[in-house]
Amino acid sequence: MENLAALAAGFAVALTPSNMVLMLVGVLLGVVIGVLPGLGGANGIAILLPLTFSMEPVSAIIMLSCIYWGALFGGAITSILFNIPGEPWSVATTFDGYPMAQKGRAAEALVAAFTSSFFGAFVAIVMITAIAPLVARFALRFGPPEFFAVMFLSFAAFVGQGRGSAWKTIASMMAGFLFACVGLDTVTGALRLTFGSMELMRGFDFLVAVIGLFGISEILIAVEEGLQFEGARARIDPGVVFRVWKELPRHGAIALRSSVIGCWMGVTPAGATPASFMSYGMARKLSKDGAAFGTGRIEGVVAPEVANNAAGVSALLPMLALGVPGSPTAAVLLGGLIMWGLQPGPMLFVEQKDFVWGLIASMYLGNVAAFLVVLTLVPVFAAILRIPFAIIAPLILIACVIGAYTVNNAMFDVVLMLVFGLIGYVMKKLDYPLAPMVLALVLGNRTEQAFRQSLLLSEGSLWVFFHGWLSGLVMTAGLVLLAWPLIGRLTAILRARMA
Amino acid sequence: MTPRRTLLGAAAPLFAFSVAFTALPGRAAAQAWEPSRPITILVPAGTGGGADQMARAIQGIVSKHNLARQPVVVQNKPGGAGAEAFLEVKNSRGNPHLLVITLSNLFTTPLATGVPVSWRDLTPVKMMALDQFVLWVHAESPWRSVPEFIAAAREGRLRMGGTGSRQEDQIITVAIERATGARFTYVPFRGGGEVAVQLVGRHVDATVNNPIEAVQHWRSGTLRPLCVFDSKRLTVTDKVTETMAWSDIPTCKEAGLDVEYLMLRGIFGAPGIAPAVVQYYVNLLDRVRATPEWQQLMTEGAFNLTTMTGEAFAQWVAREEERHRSLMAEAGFLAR
Amino acid sequence: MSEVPRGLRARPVEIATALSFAALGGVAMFDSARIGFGWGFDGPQSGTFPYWVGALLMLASGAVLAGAVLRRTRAMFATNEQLASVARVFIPTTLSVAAMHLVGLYVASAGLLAWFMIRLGGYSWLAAIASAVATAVIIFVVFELWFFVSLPKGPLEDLLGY
Repeated sequence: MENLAALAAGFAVALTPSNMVLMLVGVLLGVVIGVLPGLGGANGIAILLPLTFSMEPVSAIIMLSCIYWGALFGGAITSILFNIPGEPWSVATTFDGYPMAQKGRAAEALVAAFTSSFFGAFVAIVMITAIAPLVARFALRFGPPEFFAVMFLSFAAFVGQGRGSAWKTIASMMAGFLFACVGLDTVTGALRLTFGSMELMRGFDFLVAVIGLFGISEILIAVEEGLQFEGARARIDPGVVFRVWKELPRHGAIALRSSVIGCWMGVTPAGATPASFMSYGMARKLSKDGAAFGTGRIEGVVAPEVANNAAGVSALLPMLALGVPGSPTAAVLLGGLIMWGLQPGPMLFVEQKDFVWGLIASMYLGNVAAFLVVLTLVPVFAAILRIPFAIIAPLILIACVIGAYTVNNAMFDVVLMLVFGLIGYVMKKLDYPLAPMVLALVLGNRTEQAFRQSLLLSEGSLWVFFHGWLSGLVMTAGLVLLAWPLIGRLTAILRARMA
Repeated sequence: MTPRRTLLGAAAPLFAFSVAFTALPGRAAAQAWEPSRPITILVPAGTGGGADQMARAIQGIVSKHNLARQPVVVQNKPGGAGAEAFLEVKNSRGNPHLLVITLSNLFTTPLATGVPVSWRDLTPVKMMALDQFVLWVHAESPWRSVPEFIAAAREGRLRMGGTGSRQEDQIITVAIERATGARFTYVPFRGGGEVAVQLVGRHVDATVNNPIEAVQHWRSGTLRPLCVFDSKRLTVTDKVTETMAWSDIPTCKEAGLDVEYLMLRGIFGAPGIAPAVVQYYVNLLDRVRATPEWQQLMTEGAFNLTTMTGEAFAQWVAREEERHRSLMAEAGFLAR
Repeated sequence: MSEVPRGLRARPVEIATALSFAALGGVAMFDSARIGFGWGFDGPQSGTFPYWVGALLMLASGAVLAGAVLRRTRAMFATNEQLASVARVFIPTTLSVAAMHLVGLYVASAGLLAWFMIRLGGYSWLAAIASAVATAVIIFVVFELWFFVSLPKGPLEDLLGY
């Protein structure tokens, strides 16, 4: 009750006209940051953070959190329209979002993505409001074995049941792991697979690889059938919003499950990326017609978007309560908090109640504001696809180049991106699945690190993963999910026998 | 970009020359240098650690007090145990808008990996402070003093969490092993904040976190400091918990563990920048140090307030590099 | 890629790809053996993970290779017409990236856009060059001035004073 009163006071502060203008500005800036290549949320907020130091702390945090929302919402846009994920956690959105756009349903995919993002974020905020201290304590249970178990679960949820050759899936995933290994080994500091090259020491950044594998290769595939993009005939009318909203409640179960996964991953803090892959994988595995995923199913957009926004929001909780940010963007916000004289950590909730509740109130409002803004912009985004090929194709290519360059400010990465583009093109033509490669590339390092830390702790015993109840539970869930297709087949056989 | 930057660097004097000429009717080219673009501070470590917090504090102070014409941007480049950040600075010869904040990995990373970078490739600007290390255990652990802790470590292998591999935390761990004969299992994590949380969650038995990385958990009563790795006790006497202040923590030496270690928190620039540029940053950082926010950060993190610039700083860094070389040689951490 | 008259068949590409993946796995195993793949004094050595991953990659691509060699299909990888289309997009992009080393990103991007508009879109020279310049200026304003992101520049930008 005390909390509710504090929250109400927070709302009162946030709802002044000047703060509402700041909200709008923040959301628009955030969307721009989310859409522009090479300006991830973390980077964008870092650049804009200083602007807010001259403001009142409450206004500043409102503006910053609105930028954060805008960037979270905006991340889905390029994934759906061009198959180019701007952040690691938008990758899973491309799997069904881009096929939808190709079929001329870009506007629907965008509305579904935004609505799901809103839903996921909202659930996470409610969770923070209601049970923050409890959840923070839960996060402390996560040591290396639990972390590895979570990574294992994301892989388990994702692999299997894919179409095409199993050997090709394995080859693709293993190549992804190898690409992730290139560079300095974080655990021992040894150089791996660099062969004396200074450029390779940097390692293959996820964004560089994905822009090539997904973005460039998709353009090459598209132009095979003539110099144009499909999906140019996208219908755009205001009714699309309501049509999608009418359809979405049918996927309520998926949305709920995904938001739980998202909150859990955001808090632990495994982050939004495993959350989006895991919930996409689960949605596909547990669906009756999982095989149709990847061809433009709306659930395939709902699941990852709900999860990654839920995770993005709940990632703020460990930052506030433990001082450990759950995402790069949260890390930048952490710097802002320190500047306003707030030391994030276990004492923040006790000593700075007003600020914390003001922040939570601004989360509610910012999320609503961001949702309304992006929804009204849907026609604008969808109309981008109508630009003639000879103009939009080079613009996308330029965007890819800028995106790859800005990751490390290295021209070598741009060349690498083109090479990955060719690799992606050949792999796609030969039916090698690309998703396992990207998954391995994104999560490979952290998975390996957690695995080795666990083995260090246990002095080499693999039982460490089943020692604690939490890691044991998650590992078991992963094993069950891995065996899920088998179980499905077995029950089918049993049923056939019974009948 | 690398070749471009170098080219720009080479062209800069020429360009300045032509500007001086076009400006002839007025006064000669201004004496003092001013930044014309945002100043980037690279952090060669992950977020939430000591270096990161300090860089972000500088960023905030500069913009809050309007100390520079251009904003300060902080970028984390934890790749390759910091090697990536140092290499970027090394390869940005003459770029006056790039700074790097260092921790001990300025010495340890090149020594441990053979990455071709050294502090001599950078321009020393200013020592901001020296950071302390404290031996932490969980508040619910049975160890209340250093001898109890050492006795337990001798009995069975304890798990020591730390930042990175073959860096300061592991060097201190090895030094403790040598001083006591106990063995630890050292588990590397990505950043100081994460290490502290791992200790709070009791996934490791002890850490040697910097004060600022663990202070919040100490205040909330989940961590307990055993000793500080300095020759003198900390100077901050404000109470952190109900009963203790930083100054109440014994030094490790007086507690019977003869290990000392302090870490540089310094600012370096790109190689080949003009003395006027260095002077600008020295002045800027002096003004940063004078602000109440900075002083609060120093108190909160119980820093050692030593500061140096110019030749004295360079000599100090050279001595420190030698010390790390011998420490790491003893531990067997040098690159083969 | 060698081109047979009517297009590229899938089988040789399949074989070449499998061989490249196998080579990648082999290289990884070789390098991992160099840095050690056993149990070191600080846990599993750096090479352990890439070594086994490389081994698995070789196994998987061996299986794919066997399948491709044994199964004689006449399926097409891509027809000449398709390859030509791909080349018309990929080659100018590659050239433009190569040019970026010399003239910077802005000029190279403007060039790429103008080329596409004139050669593939059939726009007039005037329209193409005007849009190219406008694009470069917009990119400059957004990245360099608003968000302080520095992109590669060349002699032209130096001349203009940046």
